[in-house]
Amino acid sequence: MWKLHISISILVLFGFANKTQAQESDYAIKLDSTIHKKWVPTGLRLGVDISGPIYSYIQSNKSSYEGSIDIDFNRFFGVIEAGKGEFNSSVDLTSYSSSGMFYKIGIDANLTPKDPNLNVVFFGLRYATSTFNEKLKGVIPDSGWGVQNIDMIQNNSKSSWIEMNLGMKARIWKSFFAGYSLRLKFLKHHMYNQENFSSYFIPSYGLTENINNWSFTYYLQYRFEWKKKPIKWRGE
Amino acid sequence: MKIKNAPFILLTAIATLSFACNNQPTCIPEHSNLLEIAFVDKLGASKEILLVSADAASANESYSIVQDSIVSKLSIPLSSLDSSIFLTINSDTAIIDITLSYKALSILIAPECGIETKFDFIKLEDTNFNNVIVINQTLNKDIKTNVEITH
Repeated sequence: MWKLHISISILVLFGFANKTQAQESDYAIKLDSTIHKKWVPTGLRLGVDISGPIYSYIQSNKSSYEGSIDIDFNRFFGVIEAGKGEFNSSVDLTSYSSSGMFYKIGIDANLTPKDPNLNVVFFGLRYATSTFNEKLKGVIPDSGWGVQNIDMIQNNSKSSWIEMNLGMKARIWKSFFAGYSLRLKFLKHHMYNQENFSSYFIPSYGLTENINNWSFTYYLQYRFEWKKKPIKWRGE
Repeated sequence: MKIKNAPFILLTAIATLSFACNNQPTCIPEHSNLLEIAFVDKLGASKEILLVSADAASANESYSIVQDSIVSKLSIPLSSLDSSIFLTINSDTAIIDITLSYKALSILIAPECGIETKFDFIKLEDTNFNNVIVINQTLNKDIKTNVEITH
């Protein structure tokens, strides 16, 4: 399955690579010795994750809304992502909810820096943090003290984690891009503001009991391009 | 030309989505709510004693653990809603009062499984008997003894 996935990604990229003969595309120019400002940003990309709302529709107890900004520095991108996540569950006598904001900052390294349409296959790292509020209701079965009702609120818990991202961003029309990323997340730190109960779900991270989680995001993006990007031309 | 690639991207996304799977919870509680008290002799060997009564009390409730029995161990459930327990153990030779504090942390195993409590940081706060020691601070199914009373 992974081979298929990688093969399709490569096919998509080579599909875009049809302008290799020219020295300039609509979005890039050939980097030569006269251009010294290759680290100067050439565009800002704004995006929204559409996989979150789709998941929310499929799994009504979860919701996630996320946006992103990235800006290019040579073959790297500085990235900021932010959003809101929620998890609600009510089964029999037990109900739980978690909701909060999350923020991520990091860099993506462009693995295809010679693409004249500025399509990107990237590997990225993120430092992510979430602040969230939780509610837990339920019963502890009789164990000598009678049935005990639990009804607790826990606000302002904080978690941070590291993400490794692998994905692509492909130009689909003019300045519009579509892209996805597969995210592997490693829980780094979890801190309770009130230690009333053990946190169960961290917005954007997932289940607290897992030391690592993975997820998938699918972005639609618009790139504001104020100049053509100087790149090393393919085949040179 | 560029728009032709959109279906490929979508296909790749769907392929990746197909990897998504949900772990089904096993619903097996990991923690115990039983405080294990062992009676031992001066050499540390298990010792049976005659208990006239043993009672437990929390801030709001109390109950009788055992009456007129010969035992070498007591298993006493802790309350999830309290942070201390007061024990009165009345044996044929002594009346032992013990106050223990603890931390009860509720844990949602999974929404389908319900809530369990993890009891930790058990600490001897007060006793009128010299030979009471806490040897394990956590209640755990694998831990056989939390408190040892040399009788």
